[in-house]
This record gives sequence, structure tokens and C-alpha cells, in this order.
Amino acid sequence: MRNYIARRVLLSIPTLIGATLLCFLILRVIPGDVAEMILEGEGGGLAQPRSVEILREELGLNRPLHVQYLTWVWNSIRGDFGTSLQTGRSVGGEFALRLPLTIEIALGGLFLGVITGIPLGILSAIKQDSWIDYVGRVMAILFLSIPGFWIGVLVLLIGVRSFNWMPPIGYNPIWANPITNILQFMWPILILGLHQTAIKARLTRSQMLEVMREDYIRTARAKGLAEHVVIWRHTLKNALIPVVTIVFIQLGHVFAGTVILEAVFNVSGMGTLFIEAIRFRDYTIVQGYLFIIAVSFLVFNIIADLVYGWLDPRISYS
Amino acid sequence: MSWRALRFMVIMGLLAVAAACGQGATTAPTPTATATLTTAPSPTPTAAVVATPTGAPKVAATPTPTATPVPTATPTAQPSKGGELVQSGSSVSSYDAHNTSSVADLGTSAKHYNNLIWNPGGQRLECDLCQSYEFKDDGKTMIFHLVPGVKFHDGRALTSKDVVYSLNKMMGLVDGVVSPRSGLLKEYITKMETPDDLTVIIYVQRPAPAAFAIMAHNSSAIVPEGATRQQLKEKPLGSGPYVVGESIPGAHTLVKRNPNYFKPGLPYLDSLRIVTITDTNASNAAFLTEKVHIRTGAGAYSSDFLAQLEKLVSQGKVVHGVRIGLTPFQGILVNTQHTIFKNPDVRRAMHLALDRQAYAAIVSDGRAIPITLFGAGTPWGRPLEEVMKLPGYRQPKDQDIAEAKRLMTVAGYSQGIDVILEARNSGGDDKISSVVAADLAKINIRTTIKLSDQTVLYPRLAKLDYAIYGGRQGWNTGDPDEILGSYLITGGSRNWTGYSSPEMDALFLAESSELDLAKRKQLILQAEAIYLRDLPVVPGADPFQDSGWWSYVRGFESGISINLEQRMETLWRSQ
Repeated sequence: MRNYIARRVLLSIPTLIGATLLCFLILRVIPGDVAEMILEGEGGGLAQPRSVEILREELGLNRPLHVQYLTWVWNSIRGDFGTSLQTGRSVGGEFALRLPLTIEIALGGLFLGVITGIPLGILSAIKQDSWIDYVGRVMAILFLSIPGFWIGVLVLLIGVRSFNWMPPIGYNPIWANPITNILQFMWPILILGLHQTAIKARLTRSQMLEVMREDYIRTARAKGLAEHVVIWRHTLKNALIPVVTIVFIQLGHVFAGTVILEAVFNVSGMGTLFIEAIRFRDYTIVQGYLFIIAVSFLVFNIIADLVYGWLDPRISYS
Repeated sequence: MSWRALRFMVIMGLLAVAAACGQGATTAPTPTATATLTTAPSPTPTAAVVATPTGAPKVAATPTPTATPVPTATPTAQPSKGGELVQSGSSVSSYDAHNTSSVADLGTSAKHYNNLIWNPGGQRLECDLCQSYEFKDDGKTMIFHLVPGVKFHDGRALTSKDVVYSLNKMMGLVDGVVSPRSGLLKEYITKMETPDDLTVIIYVQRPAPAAFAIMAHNSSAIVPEGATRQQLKEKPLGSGPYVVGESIPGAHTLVKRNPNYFKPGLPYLDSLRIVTITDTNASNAAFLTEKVHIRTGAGAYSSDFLAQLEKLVSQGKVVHGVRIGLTPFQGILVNTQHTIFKNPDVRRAMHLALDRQAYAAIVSDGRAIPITLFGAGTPWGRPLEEVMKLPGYRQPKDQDIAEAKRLMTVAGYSQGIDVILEARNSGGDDKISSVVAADLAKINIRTTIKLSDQTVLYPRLAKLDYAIYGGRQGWNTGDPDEILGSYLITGGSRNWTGYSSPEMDALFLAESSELDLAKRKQLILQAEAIYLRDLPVVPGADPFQDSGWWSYVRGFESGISINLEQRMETLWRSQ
């Protein structure tokens, strides 16, 4: 097992290098840079070319690309993501401020998806082709299809028009203002959770149905075991193996998927920071964020594989 | 039909409904720089009149704007001290007012700084740090006498040396970086002197009313001598009515009363909170639910939000201020050196073909005013009734279209032409280009719209590497000098049309140094006539700029520009 983990970690390095290189180069290919964005403005033609050059020099944008890349990678490995080119604030400081909010939405949505999606999937499978199954499947398709931001805008619209109400705004971390935090975050968590519910429900249902058709399940029933024992002790455990691994893989996706919900519900999380940074070509913020996302995906994938191996005794990593 | 087939159709139907509902999220509008109104600096500066767009042509949702708030309390209500108000805004990325082009940054910075001259609420030009000023040498020498006892937030005394340092910094004479918005001062100022701590003498190469407008802009903040860009980026080093209380990036900035502010009794508020709201829907909702008390911006409100707002206005709970945006170069920029478009008949044909009402309806939801060189009904523009009779503006368009086709034939293009229409991929320019393309098609100018990022497009426009561009160019000061001097004179810094006219050049020099307001306006109108004759830009329509505030917010003036009303030092709460 240790060898396996070591091998996976070593294999992750080229992946990480590739991801960081791609991110670095793509940003440089996008036209314009932060010096232009700071000085030029929307109307265009505001900045003097010499002024832009001076600013570019100060921000280190005139250094050779390979020097910029290697400096950034080396510092990132040591946990120093540098300073924002636009604001001059520490990138690490910005992340520390905003990451908890994004994590709260992401984990909240995922947790909600697990506690509602899995039971829904189990119920759908057990009651296959009944009205419960149809309702469950239609709801799952609906939650998968309807964009979360649309629901978010609808929540605001109905809230304002009908109840003269909207969720709290501002920076309300849970340790500072727990009640306000819950009132503000419950909506994006709920909306993200709907999407996650759909994914878990569909996967759980299909896995349950697959396992329920196995010979050993038929044998268990033939032996006279009670139905609930067949379902809970034999079917569910085996059906949930891929579901659990998907949950870990989804961890990376939900972190990236909070962007629009953060904008709609005015949560100053990583998503809104990311969008602003792209708009201003703030390379250090964008690179730092993508670095974290890339590392997260790699780590969660390794964890997913390890959990899979732990849950399924047929799988061994040697 | 079998049960299975019916089940399939129901599911597919629901999917189709869900997919149709999944439209793009609304995005917060991109702020455009809006103009400021200026008056010539006469010994008794006259109040600038804020235009009210009455008598607008038949467009959808014509507003009845009020440019000043309608107080619900008695007119003699005394401001009361204390309390906090909440304003919607954006996260501050830099407190360096000189070197940021961000309207949001300037709006927040304005609360921390003073200017030499300022334009409170866009209604008038007044001394800010000066207590008086005088002109000598036919206006080529300006002498400012500073208010004594002014201190920066760190307790340091503000002197004439700080003023001169700040102006030099804006002009790029300190570190080589010229202020994108206030750097125009270098076109006027030749020398400055500080005979004592409270006197600043500014020598200009010619009398310069525009210099006052530039100095009144939010970006012309006075900072301590020696302050660097890096220092100013991180925190404000000003003397203004508010100091930074708390700043959480991406969330809010809390500014608190400066207890040592030099204007007696000001500010009235204990604090002002500027919350960051990037999404338009969230911003609208926050205002309607009273989480935000003041909502200013650099764009027009949507008709849906307006409907909600007007309900509250009719109940006397909210005040709605409307101003003209003063974005003069909005429509079709034309490369006057291009093989086809150097022919003035072709440009006139495009001008006649453009339907300004449709333009206003599509681009600005009907909330816009036709432009000539300046917005109709604005202080520098012609009366709206006069503009609507001009060729190109009148309705119906049949006569104009017929004349446009005739001009195209005279120019030798009876079979039409194919051309690339450049546009930015942001800021609503795609809508402008769509309207332009549809109107030009009526006179057989077949366009292919090419959307580009502004960082790619603007350098090409500057090099005249284009044919026509459907979009807009903003301005900062509201002074005609900037429009004529940047965009229309031969070799102007933002002359992206290649336009050159000795008449225009001469008129610019004449109006630029004219201190008499009435005479200056006549010269501007002459310049406008030449502009409408030569048409380096085929003008479109200028959108309204909206502000909203709850009625217990007092002392707020919705002036001519978002760049002037943001200091909020006279704000107070009546309840």
C-alpha cells in the first residue's frame, strides 16, 4: 500500500507540472495584461504606453517566461503564492479569507447531496418502476438539467417580489456570525445540493439495480433472508462502493462549481475572486487558484482510489 | 400510444423545458466612464445645470427624471449627526486615485481624499482645499490660496508642496507614470510655484477652463509629498472626510468619520459601508430590500428593476435620480483614411441610415438620448427638439434612407459594399454593433461583425487598422477640451478615426482658452457643426445613468457623473 501511494504521488508530479505549465501559458496567450487593465480602463486609450511599460516592469512581467514560471512554481511549492498584481495584497491572505466560504458551500452542497441523493437512489431502486421511482428519476433529471444560477436568480426574484426579502449580504463567516452565515449560505448550499442529489441518486439507483441482479442476492433471497437484510447488508454495501469513490472525485468539481452561485448570492469566495482575477489578468491569483484546484483533484483522486481499494477487498494495491 | 412511449415523451418534454429555461446568467454591467459637467472658472462660478431629458422622442419607457432629490422632510431640516449608511459598490483594488482607471476604486477613494477644486454632486465648481483663487496674465496664471490647518489622516499638515507634488505625480513628472484620467493636466500646466505653505501658483500655456474640470475629478486627489504608488495602492493617504475603518476584500469597506476633518461639522455620518455586490440581480434585490441605502452606478437600470423602483418612488420611500451619461462617442467610429470611408458621402449615408430610436430601444432598453457631439439637452449639447429635426435623427426614416441610398450611388457604391464591423466583446458593444449592422444593411452596406477583446482591438484602432467600429469611447472630465483635444484634433491622443480638419483644430484652440461660458458654448456649437458635416463618428444615443437612494438619505446629490458624487461628506440620515 505504501508503495502504491508513493507511486501515485510520484506520478502526480508530471501531471502537476503539465497542469501548471498549461495554466501559465494560457494566461500569457490571452491578450492584454494587468498593467493595461489597471491603466487603460473601459473607454480605452487612457494610458500612455510608457506608463504601461513602467508598470509592467515593476510587476515583473518583462522577465523571461521561463524565469517567471520557475519562480512561481518554486514559491508555490513552499506555500508562497506571491502578491496580487492588481492589488498588491498577499495571494495567500486572499485565499485564507475566501477559501473557508467556498469550502462551506462546496462541502455543504456535497453533504446535502449525499444525505438526500443516496436514500433517494435506494428508494428508486427498491421501488423500481413504481410512481416513487418515476418521481425520483424525474426530479433527478430536473435537478441535473436546470442550471443552479437560474434557481438562484429565481430565489432572489421571488424573495424580493413576494416577501420583500433577500438573503443577508456581506462577509459572514460561520465562526463570527453563525446565524447570519446559515441564512446567507443555506441557499447556495441548497441549490448546489440539488445538483449533487441528482448525481448521487442516479448513480446509487443504477448501482443498486446492478447488484440486485447478482446471483448472490438471488441466493440470499432464496435462503429466506428478510428483504431488508438483503437490501441493507448485502446489496447496499456493494452498490455504494463506486458511489463513495464518486463522492471524493466530486469534491474537486464542487469547489470549482461554486463560482456563479457565489456571484448570485454575493458570497465573497474563491469563485468571485477567480472571475475578477481573470478579468484583470491577475496572473498570480489565477495561477494560485488553479494550482490549488489541480492539487485538490490529484489528492482527491488518490484518496478515491485508496478508499475504493479499502471498501472492495477484491482490489489490492501492491 | 403505449405507456412507455408516453413516459418517454413526458421526460423529453420536461428536459426541453428545463433546457429552454437555462439561459445565461445576467452579468453585472460593465461601468463606463461618464462625463463630468464643468463650468468655466469665472470669478463667480455659475452652477451647472443638469439636463433632464424631457421631450424625448417616442421611445419605450421614457423616464421623467429628477436630477436632484425631492426631500420629504421640511426644506429647512437640519442635518443630524450620527448613524451609518450602506452604499453598493465594488471591492477596492487600489487607493491610488491617480493611477487607477477603475470607477469603483475612484468612488471609494473619493471618501478619503480632497482635491484642490471639486465639483460636489456635479452641480458646481467650488474650492475644496483652496479657500479662494484668482487669475492673472489673462488667465495664464492661477493662484490658489489654501485653507489653513488642513491635516492628512496621519496628522501631518497639508501644504502647498503636497499640492504641487500631487499634480506633478498626475502628470507623470514624479515616476514617469502618467495618470490615465488626470494626466491631461500636462497639456496645460507649464510650471508651478509654492511661495509659501498656503499658496500654489500654476502657470498654464493658455487660459484653461478644462484644467478646473480635471482638478475636480476624483482622480485628482491631493496626497502627501513623497507618497509612492505602492504606498497609495495599499492604503489611502488623504485628508478627506472619512478614514478606513475596515476593509474586507470582495465583501465590504467600512469608512469612518475623520474626527479632524477641516470642514466644520462634516461629515455627518459616523460611518459609511460600501458593500461589494458584483451581480446586478443581487444589487437590485439588496436595494429594494433596504440592505443597501444608496445605489449609484455608471449605467441604466433595467426596465424590470425600474418598475419595482417606481413603485417605491410613488410611495415616497425612494428617490430616483437620472442623468445623461455623457458618453459622446457611441455609435460608429469610422476610419476616415480607409479607401471607402474617406468619402464623406459614404459617412453621411451611414449617418442617415442609423435609426437612433431603435438604437436606444435595443442598446439601452429605450432609456437613452440621441447624441450629436454631446447629448441632446445636456449643457454642451443642442436642445432635443432641435436635434430631432436634423437629418439622420428625424422619424420616420424613409426620407433619410432614400437620401442615404442616393449618396451611396453618387459615391459609386450602388451595388453596395462588404465591410468588417469591429466591436468589443464586452461592455454591450455587441448590441451596438448588431443595431449598426442591421441599419447599414438597409443601404447595402453588408457587414461582418468581428468581436475582439479590447486589449487586441484598441491598439488596432489606434493604428487605424480597421474600417468601422461599432462601440463607444468614454471620457472622464466632461469638459469639451477632452473630446475635441483627444478625439478630434489632428494627431489627438485618442484620435482613432484619423480625422484632420484645420477648422476643427483652430476651433479647439479658441474654445480651450475661452473663459466666458456663453462664448465658449458658441465655439463648441461651431465645432459640432463641423463634426456633423465631416462625421468621423456616426453618433448613436447616450444612455441614462441612474441613481437610487432611500428617502431618509439626505445630502446626496445625483450630479452629472459618477466621478463626482462619491465623497459623500454631506450625507446624513433623517431617521
